[in-house]
Amino acid sequence: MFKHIKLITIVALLALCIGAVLSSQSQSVVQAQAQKIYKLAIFEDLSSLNTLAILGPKATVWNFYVRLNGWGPSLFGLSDKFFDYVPGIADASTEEEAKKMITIGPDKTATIKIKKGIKWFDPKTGKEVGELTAEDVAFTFNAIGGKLYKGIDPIKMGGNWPGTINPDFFDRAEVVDKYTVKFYLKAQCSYDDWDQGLLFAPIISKAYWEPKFKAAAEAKDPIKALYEHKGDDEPVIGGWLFQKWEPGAFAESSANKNHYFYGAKSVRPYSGGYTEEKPGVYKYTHTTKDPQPYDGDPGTAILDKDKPTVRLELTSGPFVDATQWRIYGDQATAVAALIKGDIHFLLNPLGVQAGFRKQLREAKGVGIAENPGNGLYYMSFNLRREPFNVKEFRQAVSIMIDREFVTQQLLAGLAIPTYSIVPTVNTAWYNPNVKTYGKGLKEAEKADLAIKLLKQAGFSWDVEPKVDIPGNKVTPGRGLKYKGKAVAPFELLAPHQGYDPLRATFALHIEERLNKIGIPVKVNLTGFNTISNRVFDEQKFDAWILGWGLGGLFPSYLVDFFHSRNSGLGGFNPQGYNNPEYDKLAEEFEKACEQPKLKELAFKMQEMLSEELPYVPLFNAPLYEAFRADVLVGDHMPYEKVFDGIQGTNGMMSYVQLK
Amino acid sequence: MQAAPTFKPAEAIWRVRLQLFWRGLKSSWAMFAESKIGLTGLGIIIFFAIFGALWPAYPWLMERLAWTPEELEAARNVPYGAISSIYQVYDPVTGYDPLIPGIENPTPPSRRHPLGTNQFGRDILAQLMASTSSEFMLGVLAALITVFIGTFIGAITAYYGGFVDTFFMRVADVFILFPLVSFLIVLGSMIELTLIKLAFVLGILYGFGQITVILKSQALAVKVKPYIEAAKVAGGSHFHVIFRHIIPNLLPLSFLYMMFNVTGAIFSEAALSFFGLLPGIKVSWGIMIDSAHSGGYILGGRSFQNWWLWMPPGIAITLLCSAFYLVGRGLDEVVNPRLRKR
Amino acid sequence: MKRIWQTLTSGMSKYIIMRLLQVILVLYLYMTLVFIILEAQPGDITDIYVGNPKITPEARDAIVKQLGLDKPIHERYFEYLKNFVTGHLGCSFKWGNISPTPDPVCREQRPTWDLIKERLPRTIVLFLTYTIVSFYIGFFLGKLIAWRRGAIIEYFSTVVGVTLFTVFTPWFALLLVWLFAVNLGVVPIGGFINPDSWTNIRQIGSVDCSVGISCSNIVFNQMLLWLGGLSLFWGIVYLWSRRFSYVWQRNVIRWGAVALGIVLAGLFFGGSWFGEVNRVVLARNTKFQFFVWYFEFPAGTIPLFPLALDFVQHMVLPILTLTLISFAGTMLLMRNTMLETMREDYVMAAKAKGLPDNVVRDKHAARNALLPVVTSLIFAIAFSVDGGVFTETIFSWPGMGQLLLLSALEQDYPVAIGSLVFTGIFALVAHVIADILYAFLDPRIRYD
Repeated sequence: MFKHIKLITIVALLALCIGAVLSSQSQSVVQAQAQKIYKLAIFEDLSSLNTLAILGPKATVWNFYVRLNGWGPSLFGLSDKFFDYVPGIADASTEEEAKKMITIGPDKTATIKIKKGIKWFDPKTGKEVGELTAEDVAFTFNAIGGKLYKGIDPIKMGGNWPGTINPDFFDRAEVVDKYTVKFYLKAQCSYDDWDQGLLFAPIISKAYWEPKFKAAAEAKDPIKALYEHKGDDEPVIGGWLFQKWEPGAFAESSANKNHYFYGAKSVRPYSGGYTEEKPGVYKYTHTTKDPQPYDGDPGTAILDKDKPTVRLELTSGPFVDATQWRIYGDQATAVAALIKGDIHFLLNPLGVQAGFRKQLREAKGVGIAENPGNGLYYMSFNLRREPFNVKEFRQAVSIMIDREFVTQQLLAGLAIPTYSIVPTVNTAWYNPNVKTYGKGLKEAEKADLAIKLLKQAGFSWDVEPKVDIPGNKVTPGRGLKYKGKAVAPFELLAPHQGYDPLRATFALHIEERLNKIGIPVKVNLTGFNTISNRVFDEQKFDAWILGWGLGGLFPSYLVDFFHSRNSGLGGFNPQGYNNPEYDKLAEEFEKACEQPKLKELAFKMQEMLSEELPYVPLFNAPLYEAFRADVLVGDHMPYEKVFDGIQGTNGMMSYVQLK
Repeated sequence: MQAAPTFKPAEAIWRVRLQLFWRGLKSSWAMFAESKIGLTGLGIIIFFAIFGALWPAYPWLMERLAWTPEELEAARNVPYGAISSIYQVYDPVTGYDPLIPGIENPTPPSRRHPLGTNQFGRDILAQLMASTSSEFMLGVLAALITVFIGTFIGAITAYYGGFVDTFFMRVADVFILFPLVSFLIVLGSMIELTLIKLAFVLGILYGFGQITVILKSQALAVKVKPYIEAAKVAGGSHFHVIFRHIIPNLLPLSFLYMMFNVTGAIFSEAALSFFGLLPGIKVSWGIMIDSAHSGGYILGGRSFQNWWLWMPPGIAITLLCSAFYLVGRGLDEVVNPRLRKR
Repeated sequence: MKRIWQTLTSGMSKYIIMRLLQVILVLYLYMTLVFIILEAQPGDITDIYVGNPKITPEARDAIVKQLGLDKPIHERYFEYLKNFVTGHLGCSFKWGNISPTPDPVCREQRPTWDLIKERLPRTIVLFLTYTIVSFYIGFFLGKLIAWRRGAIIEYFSTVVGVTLFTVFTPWFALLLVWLFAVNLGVVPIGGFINPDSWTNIRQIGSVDCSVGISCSNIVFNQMLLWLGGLSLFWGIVYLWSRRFSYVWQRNVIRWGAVALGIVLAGLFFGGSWFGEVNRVVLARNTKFQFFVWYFEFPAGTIPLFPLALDFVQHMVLPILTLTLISFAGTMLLMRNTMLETMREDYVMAAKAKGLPDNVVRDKHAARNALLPVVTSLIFAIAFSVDGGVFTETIFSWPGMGQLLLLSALEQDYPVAIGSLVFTGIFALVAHVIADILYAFLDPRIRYD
């Protein structure tokens, strides 16, 4: 007996292990059958739970995806997929009523009614904790807007807050009755600050936040005191209760099927228009077909021209028990998990890269949605320096860049060549008449055109480049001079391969082509932070390549990127573009609020930019998103031809149904 | 030999030394040649040296061997991205083959691209060859710095003892336990590490560590030898004793450790560039693996699809690292005779 | 008892005190070195600190002040030392506070120490396990090939060993993931837990771990405690059992202790004996029909065991990878020292006495060749956190190494520098502890 004790112990251990493995497998099986959990992959952990901080300095895309679901309803919003301008918690049943409501009177006030019976829910228990009233709305704007507490205002709160509640525009909000709020504003008209600003601001719970604001105002550093709250117990309006977060592994929201908008159906008939209805509770219709009154209806515009009005019905859920975000270390692992069926959708702001798409197409049950991305990748110069301040020089550079060659030959069609600041897919605001220098020309023809332009502007060479157009050959030139002075070799900053192969490839192409006509440029492929630091914070640079995610459809960035007032350190105009004529246009654009006028100005600005080229637009990248087509069902699938795709709706959590 | 009278004694000593050196080398080589492991390693190193040295000739060779005149003509006349010379095709950073449409990349091995192309259309063999020389340079440079520091500090501490000894031994304690990888990662995120800078950082971090301790103990053994005493009595300065008598006796052991350090340096470079922490380096084996991985060609490929993207650089790193390690093992048997077979 | 006391007060304690003093000196040197190297960067380090475009100019000034970048260098140096002495490793730029009671210094940011505390146990478990496994395998194989010098197995295992020893770690790890997780599907692809097993778990014992507090860490820390406690227990029993003269007595005691430890752990993790402590409360009342040995669990509660097992499943592949990569080092070292001891006179004598080969090998040669190998084991443990960076990143194992790499890549410098310094301190402390243990074990070491 004792002799064999070694053996006995080992056998017993083995038996234990096997039993344990078997039992743990049965566990996950039981669980998987019991609940319907919609599983998404994310690539980074949450960095905060405090929703105010998330809209402030902690504004990462991952925090947004996970934390801002079903939280903070706004007075108005854009409908999913079609981007109609529709009431959120504002109470309007027709388009005319809504328009009347948001029109600011000559006394610079506007009165907004809100829906009755919207309830707050405790995220831990899912129980009702009161009704959303005008008190909450007024509190939100006054408290965050800097009217109630010392040391707290949108500028200090940072992040998205100044853009949401602009203190130069917002004066105060007053409660008229339980469901009516009156806004006092500082201007009668500001599309950007009002229609796309205040009215989109999230409403927070007064009962929850008031004591915290009060305490914060008395603290030494009010903003820190406000942001230091854990904030996981903040009441919500919408369909998701944030109930589980295992740091480093996953987060989960449970469904709240009692929320106000549950079961609301939005219909987009063939005939146009839009209806949103929850029977017996509320109904909203607008009938205007084209163009839409508020935002130019880009949704329809980017649909196929053959079938301009696809019928669509979306019913607001949630129809699953919970949504789970699983954290993966990198894309390769997440894609493998998707193919295996561990997850249903990949949330990735950059979309799925080419290599993954190939394997995903081969995998069974996986679908890929292709949607236009709302971004801009560009090259720009330090316009304070010579010769970058010469317009013809920038035009020559733009001509020499063969966007079509790079995107098709080197990048396998991963990117779309771009010549304008507003993406072509944003048809409501894109001006199709922008100048496209050198598009479609062969290398030698491009060089010829560029050399002519440079000569006109007073450039000369020690050894002039020779162009052989029939042979499509350029013999490199040397020693570029501007007005007799040698042009010193300059540096082009661009992200390195590891961060973004697309931009790195473009940079190397630009280096090669520009050197051919004697423009002495040297590419420095470096880290994103180095570039952004040198360009935006220090303004010590010659030229750089970066990109912008443009957020909404409304092109307020036409002002931000090019108005001369933003050219200081840290501003969005580090290239130092300073054109009084353009500034005038931009200011007019800011003050306008009528759709045709806004459009006219935006078009003018784009035309001017395409000639002046303070930015040389390079490309735009479409979004590819992978999902389990065999599990995700619903007639809205596949979710295509929509700006920013599935992730634009945070992964369609509210509509998704699992087989 | 001691009896041979000469007219130019200085030259004779020089010649005698050379002869001794040559004889020592020959007997060492004989011992080294006995170890199959060491020879294998040496063979691999020579292979990579030739491989790297061939890089400038590669496009030239390909133009004559792999490209037909028709293909060359066609490549010069395609509508997009016509090339003016074949070097443009095989550039490891910007190269592309104009005859392969972008959408077809990565392409498997073919006549014009013996190891295929990657997802941006760059020739894998060209990238592999172009990185070889820089890997060599980094490894050897870092190891030389290490050995230089280690030998020097080791000799000095052994010779002087006392405070110098205590100080450098405590410093060595720090460097032995130094979290090198973590440190390089933090450093790499703060400054732009070029190949030379990395070699210096690695050399210094290795140099003050383990190698100092080992060489010091060896130097201690040398220090008590009678000829050191003799040199001192004969009026040799400290400098003379250290550089003429102690350090030459440390060199074989230094050389042995140099081999292991080359392995460490190459590995560190590959690892850092794999994680994108060396943006100053545009092409390296680590970057090749990273671009295959982040492009989705490693985990995604079932049954060795896309093998040409990630097998060659991975094997190259492993082979070169193990080659230096093997040579080190082979040398170990020469330098530390305890392992000799009986 | 008296004897032990004497040892402690004389040589040993002196040795320990000297060692500790040395450690403090080395620690100080290390801290200073890190500070100097980071300060000596070309350009101004403030550029990097304030280089984040997401941070507004106002917040930037605050950060500069918070980091003390406006102060002269010597003041910053003392501040830096003071912070580490007081155990405050700074505040993260990136991670916001997730505790109901915010840290008084960091306020809305999360303290670095908090992050390290969350991740360190995961790293320790992973690397302790692999070190022991790979050490054992290396020891065993090294012994074997040294004994059979010149046989094919020697060349084969040397070649394989060297290849694995020098293989490019991230690449090799990817290869194994590709093979075992993606193609064969026998192990999870990455991560350290399976969300399916944990999603319904909201409370363990009396701790509410639903949001932000890691349930897995509670179980993990208990596993770590048990692992450490059992190892200690078994070690003591092993040493104690040596005083018995008969083999069967020793065997009964040793294996009895093993069995006892496992049964105790089984009762704890199986959740019957320790009552409420280890019961897990489920959020949804799903019926769990598993692992009911002899106890009915009330609806909505489960024992810890399946959760602990979930970790183990996720640890298989990382440990396999790490073992394959590192056992060769031990093996080659063992082979060398073994070859040396085999030439010693007592081994010759034992052979001459006509003792069987395996007895000479195991009892005479191997035992004495063990000491240098144990030294290398100590180093391996000390370096585990540092070496973990690559493995943890490839396997998405959220430990210290991954934290360091990500915070370096995202330029979250307080965390990156904090974990760098901590990694060094950890290595040093592990080294010292092992050193002292080693001194206890090896009678040949003199303390003066």
